[in-house]
Amino acid sequence: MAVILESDNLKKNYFTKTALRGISLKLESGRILGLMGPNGSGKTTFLKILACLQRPSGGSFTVKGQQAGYETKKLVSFLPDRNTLYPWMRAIDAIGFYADFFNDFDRNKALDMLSFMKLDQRQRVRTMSKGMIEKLNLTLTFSRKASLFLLDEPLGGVDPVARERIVSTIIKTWSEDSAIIISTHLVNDVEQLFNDVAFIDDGEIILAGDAEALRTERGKSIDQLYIQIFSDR
Amino acid sequence: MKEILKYQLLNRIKGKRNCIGSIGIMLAANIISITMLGFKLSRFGSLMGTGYNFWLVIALVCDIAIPAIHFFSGIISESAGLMNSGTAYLYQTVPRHGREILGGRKLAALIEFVVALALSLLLMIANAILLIYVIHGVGFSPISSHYYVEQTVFSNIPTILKGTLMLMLFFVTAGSIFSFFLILIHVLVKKTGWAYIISFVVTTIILGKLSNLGDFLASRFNLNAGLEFTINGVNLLAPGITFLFNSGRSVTSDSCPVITMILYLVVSAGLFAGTSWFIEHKLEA
Repeated sequence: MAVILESDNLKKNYFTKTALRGISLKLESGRILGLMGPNGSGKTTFLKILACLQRPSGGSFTVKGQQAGYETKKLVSFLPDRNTLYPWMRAIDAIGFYADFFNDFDRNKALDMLSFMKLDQRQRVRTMSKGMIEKLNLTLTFSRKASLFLLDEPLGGVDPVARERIVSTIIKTWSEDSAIIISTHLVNDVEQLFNDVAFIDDGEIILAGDAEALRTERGKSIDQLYIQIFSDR
Repeated sequence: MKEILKYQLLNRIKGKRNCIGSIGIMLAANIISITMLGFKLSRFGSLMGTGYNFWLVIALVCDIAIPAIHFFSGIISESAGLMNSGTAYLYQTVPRHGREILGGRKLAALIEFVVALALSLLLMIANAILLIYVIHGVGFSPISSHYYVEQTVFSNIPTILKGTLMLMLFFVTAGSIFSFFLILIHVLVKKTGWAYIISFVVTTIILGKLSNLGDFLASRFNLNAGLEFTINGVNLLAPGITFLFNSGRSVTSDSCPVITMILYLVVSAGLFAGTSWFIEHKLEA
C-alpha cells in the first residue's frame, strides 16, 4: 500500500505553550485513523498543520511525497470544527465554490450526498442548524477525490440521526486510494470505522497501532481503552 | 485569481456588509434631490422654500461620505478576512498561491471603491449641471446643454482624471501598506485587535512620507508631467484646446505628480509581494 501521510517529529509551540511535542506517524492508503484525545490534547493543531492552516515549529510532513504547501492543499480535504462558509451562501452556492476551487471536486456526487443528507439545495447557510452545516461541510469535504481526508470532530454537536448519516457517508466514501483521519472524543460512535488508532495527550502520541490488534491485545474496545487511558491521567 | 475575485465580489453583493445598501442610499438621496429640483421648478418655477437645499446637502454629503466609507472598508477587507474567521479557513485551504488570494481580494476592493467613486462623481456632476441650469436660468435647448456640460465637466476633465487616478493609486498603496502590517503583526503576535490601529497609523505615516519624498524629488528634478487624454489623435487635455461646441472656453493641461505615483507603485508592488509571501508561508488561521 502507498504511504499517504508521513509526519516526522511535528512540533508546534505558541510562545510559552507547547501544543505538539513531536508527532511522528505514517498512514497508508485505504486506512482510517482515529485520532483520539481529550480537549486541548493537540488533535486540532495536528490536523490544522496537515491542512496548512498552521505552520509547524519543528519537524515536517509529506502527503504522497509532497512537502507541505501549495501542492498538498490539492491532495488534502479538510473538515474543520467550525463553519467556514459564507452565511449568504445556499448549499448549491457552496457546491459551486468547491467546484471552482478544487479540480478533484465531483459536483454530481455532491448533489447526491446533499440529497442523502436531506439538505435543501436552496437553503442558505445562515438559516441552517449546526447539524445541517456539519452535514453540508461533510458533503463538500467528501465530494472531492482527495488523497487524505481530515475530519476534525465530525460528530460534535449533531443529533443521533445526523450522526448516523455522517458515519454512513464516511463508510460510503472510503476508498483504497485515500486515507482518512478522524479526530474525536466521541469514540463509541465511530470506533467501528477505525483501522488504526492514535491516542494523543499533551501534544504527544501515547499509544498507537492497529485498532483490531489493540482490542485483542488489551481485551477492551477502543472506547474502553480511551476511558482507561485518560481517566488515569 | 478569478475565482477569488468572483467570491469576493459576490460577498460584496450578497454578504451582510454588502455595498448595495450604501450605494443605494447615495443613489436615493441624489434621486430625491434631482427629482425635487425638477418637480419644484416645473410646478412653481422657483426653488424658494422648497426644501431642495436640504436634499442637495444630504445628497452631497452622501456623495462624499459613501466613497470614503468604501475607501476604508475596501482597504480593511483586503486582508481582514484572512485571519481569525471561518472564511480564513476557506481561503487558506484552497490550492491558490498567496499572490492570487491577495490579488483577487485587492482587485475586488478596488472595484468596490471605483464603483462607489464613479457613481459619486457622476451624481455630483449631474447635480452641478442642474444647479447651473437653475442659477443661470437657462432653458434645456441642446446647444446650451452642451455649453454647460462643457463648462462643468469637460473643462474639469484634467482635474477629475488626475484626482481619480491619484485616489485609485492612493487606495491601492494604502491597502498594500495596511495589509502588509496587519498580516505581519498577526504572524508575529497572533493578535489582531491592536493590529488594526497600529497598521492604520503606520499606513498614514508611510503615505505622508511617500508624498513628501515624491514632492521633494519632483521639485528638485522638475519631474511633474502633464496628463494626456487623446481622442482621434487630439489630446483633449493639451493647453489651449477648444471643444467641438466652441464655447470659447479652453482647458489647461494639469500636471501630475509622477514621482509620487511611481513611489506609490513601487511600494505597493514590494509590499504586495511581501504580503503574498506571508500569506502563503507564514499566516495561520
